[in-house]
Amino acid sequence: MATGKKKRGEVLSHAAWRQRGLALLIGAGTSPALAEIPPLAEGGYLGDLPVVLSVTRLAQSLADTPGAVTIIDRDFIRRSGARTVAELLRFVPGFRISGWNGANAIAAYHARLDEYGSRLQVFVDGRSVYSSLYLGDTHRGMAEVAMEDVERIEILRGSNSAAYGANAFLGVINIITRNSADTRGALISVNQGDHGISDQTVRYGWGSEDASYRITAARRSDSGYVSKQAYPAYYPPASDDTRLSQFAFRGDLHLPQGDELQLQFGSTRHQADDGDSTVGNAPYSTLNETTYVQAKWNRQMSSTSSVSLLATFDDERYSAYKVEDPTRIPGLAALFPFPIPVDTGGKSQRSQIEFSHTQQQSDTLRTVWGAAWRRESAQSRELFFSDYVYSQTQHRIFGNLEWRLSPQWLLNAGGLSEHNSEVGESLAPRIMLNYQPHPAHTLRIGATKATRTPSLFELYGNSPMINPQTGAPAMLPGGRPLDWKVRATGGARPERIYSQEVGWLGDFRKQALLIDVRAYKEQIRGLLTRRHLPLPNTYDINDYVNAIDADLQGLEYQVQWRPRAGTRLWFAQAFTSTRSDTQRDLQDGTPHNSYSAAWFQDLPANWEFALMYSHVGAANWRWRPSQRLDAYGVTNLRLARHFRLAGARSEIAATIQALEGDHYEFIQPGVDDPVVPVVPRRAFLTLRTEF
Amino acid sequence: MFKCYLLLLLSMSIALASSAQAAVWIAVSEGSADYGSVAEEVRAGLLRADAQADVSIRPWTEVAQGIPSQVKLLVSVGSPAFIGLAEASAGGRLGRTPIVATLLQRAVFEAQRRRLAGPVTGIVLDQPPVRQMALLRYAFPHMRRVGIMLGPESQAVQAILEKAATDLGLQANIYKVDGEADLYAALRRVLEENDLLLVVPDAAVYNGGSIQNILLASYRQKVPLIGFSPAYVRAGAMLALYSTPVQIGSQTARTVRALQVDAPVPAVQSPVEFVVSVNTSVARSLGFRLSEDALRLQLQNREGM
Repeated sequence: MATGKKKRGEVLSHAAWRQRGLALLIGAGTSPALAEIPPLAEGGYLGDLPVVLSVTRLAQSLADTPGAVTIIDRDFIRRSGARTVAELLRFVPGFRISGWNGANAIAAYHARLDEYGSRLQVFVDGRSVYSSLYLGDTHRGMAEVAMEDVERIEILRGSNSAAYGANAFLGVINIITRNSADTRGALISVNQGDHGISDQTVRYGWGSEDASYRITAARRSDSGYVSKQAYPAYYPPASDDTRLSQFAFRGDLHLPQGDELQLQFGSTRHQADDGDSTVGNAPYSTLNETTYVQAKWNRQMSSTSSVSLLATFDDERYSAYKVEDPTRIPGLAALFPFPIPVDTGGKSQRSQIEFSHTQQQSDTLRTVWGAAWRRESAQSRELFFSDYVYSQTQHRIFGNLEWRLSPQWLLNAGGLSEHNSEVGESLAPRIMLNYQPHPAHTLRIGATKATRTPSLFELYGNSPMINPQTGAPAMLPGGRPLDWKVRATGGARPERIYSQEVGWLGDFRKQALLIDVRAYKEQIRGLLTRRHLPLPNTYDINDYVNAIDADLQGLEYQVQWRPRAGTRLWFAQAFTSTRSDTQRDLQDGTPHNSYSAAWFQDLPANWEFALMYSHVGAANWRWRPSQRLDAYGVTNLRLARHFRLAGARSEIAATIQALEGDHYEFIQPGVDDPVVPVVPRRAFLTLRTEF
Repeated sequence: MFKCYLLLLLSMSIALASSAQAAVWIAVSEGSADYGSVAEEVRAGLLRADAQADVSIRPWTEVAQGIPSQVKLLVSVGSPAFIGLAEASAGGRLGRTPIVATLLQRAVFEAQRRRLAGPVTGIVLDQPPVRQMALLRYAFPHMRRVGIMLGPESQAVQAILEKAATDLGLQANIYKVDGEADLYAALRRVLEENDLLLVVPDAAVYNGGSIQNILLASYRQKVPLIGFSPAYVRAGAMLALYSTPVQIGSQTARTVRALQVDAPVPAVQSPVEFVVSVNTSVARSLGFRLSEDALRLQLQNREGM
């Protein structure tokens, strides 16, 4: 039928799109303008509509993505019963979840290289959530979003500085919150369980055709891990309670001229108890208060071109007031035979503005380029032994092209150039070729270079033991300082990683089976580490130096399968091998083999269950060989039932985490650590209703 | 064989004989270029069959004033023309002249046909639900749950949609929408509880204010949206099934010719020829590879075309 061909040509031709786009430029995508369009002839069968999903706003499919991606969607999140983002990352190949105590959940990719998640870039709707205070930790930032607001989490495994800037060193976690248009109405969700588990979320969303809004208030608390001692039995329970409360607002507005504006602000008050898990580390509370504001503006210039502007501001205030036991540090008790108060708090701020332009140049070429400015500052007496506000400013430009060489071949090439006021220039290029010989099979091959900028602390940290009587660094007789934890000289340079990977994506639609395999080689150069440096004619210092090189290689895969309606299976596995001549024990820092599996099953009468298991091979989180952690497995179970509560869609669920009972996820009892926190079996009930 | 030939000759001669005396007026609506193209296609079709045919295209407002006696058949293009002729017929201005209504929705046709004094038939824009459901089966073989939002205008089709879905092994989930307040609650549910969203025309659901939000929401939730016009595909629907004005026009011309040879007045007809159109960018982005031609051929084979 000739008309069929003609129509297809018309729909696909970008020239035609462009013409139409220009004609509709004034009205493109705006509700007010749309409302002015007279009712379409013949009930909408005839007449035209403005282009809403223009090519520039479409996301790449998995087959076109330059790299391996794991997507954890809302259905997975709900069924898993996860209370934190970190817990979910157990199901991502190569990720490992832990925490030095129960109040500091850490998710790390290629663990031990990254104990605080500082070599991952974590975004919440495009806003980077690392802490500017210490090492660039992301573990608290990850808790800044209420679980009920998360639409999905996209984990880009592998270096991605070319698209996301420095710090996307080992990978990127994109937390995408739900559009407020999708969360109209009210939601109440409650978890109540043992070990102090008590979470509440309340959300309300409202709006019109042109704008929608929501506010979310959430609290999360639990009493963390349990202390278990190998011997003497007089230690108090672990001091690792969590009390987190947060508030978030999101508005999505359609403005005239086809503009869209997304506004968000919120704050989190995160109290995490600490201390007590090692000898002499008396219990204390830390309080992290963060506030953020962000605005994202998007304009559709035509159906093939769009620009966006993102502005974000973050404020972080951290306070931790503890009393140091002088017997803990050799020599200290002799000088100060009394408990020493220490304030390890600080504050930081970060502002960023990013502009980007996306253009469909032709049927086969899409380009994105942009520029960004970011300034961050940190102030902390504990970390910098000064009230001076340290800061660094970054300017970056980036560009990427997505070039469909033929229907089977897609080239993604791009790069990012960054100028940092403290460490200078860095360049992160990337090239990835995707070959799709058959709709079900995509092969990827590519290489990239990424960098990680030192944090302000790694550059300028200055953290002596303070003499409580004078406020000056505590000195031993003879003029040597007592314990100067860090005295950075500013010599830290960006860490570098060179990565090559090949991948295969099998997308078997008929079988509802998705397989992703990634094999990689990574050469990490100049990894920053704290080194004790003896200096001539003066005292020794601890400085951050680019001392470690490491070579990693590994194979990761994930399988997602829905064998029939109501059944969802998930399996992920990672084999990792680390080699370092400069830090030989690094090879035990990452488990050689870890895997996780999940089975989500709908049952009759609106019941459903979830069975999840994850296995982590033996490895070290900490540096000392005695702190090796044996392999362990964790089983989670959840049973839920959906029902109508006075017409409102509701769910009641029971979740048991770590069915096996007490186990260790960070360190286990040993010579150096007789008392270590134990992860207990935990159970809680969930009641959730939406109306 | 000889019999067939004779029959053909006979019918041709009758057609020629009747067209020699009888005129056909095509009453056209205003407001869309498609009305004109359909009218032209009907005229061209009639002239192809009989170069001497007396066919003229006129604004419906003129036709509704009354027609000369040599006009033996009226064609209305678009609903304004049909409604206008129905009113004129009810007012006795058109006698019992047969009317072929084309390029209009089935609901409009059904609502007006009672008012007509003479015989009437129509070629409507609505695709048969079975064809729509078959398309969903072919395009998305692994998906079963089809969400459909119906407003007050379209609720009459619920039963036939549900039956068509069942016949093809699909599950149609209907969400009733009475106003804007309902719409967003229904949209949230339809996208959460279904694999596909099938658009059924109804201004209470799909209008200038809501289409953008619906397209965006379905894309965010990765639920393919299936529209019913080329405009939907351009705007961002993954797929649409529709008939072009040319296809409707030539089907109308065939109907008119059949009536001219004194065939019985047929029942209202769905479009016979159709187009499947795919927004390949949207499909690709959501991980689908769909071929317009392959889908159309599958549907045509199924219907024995």
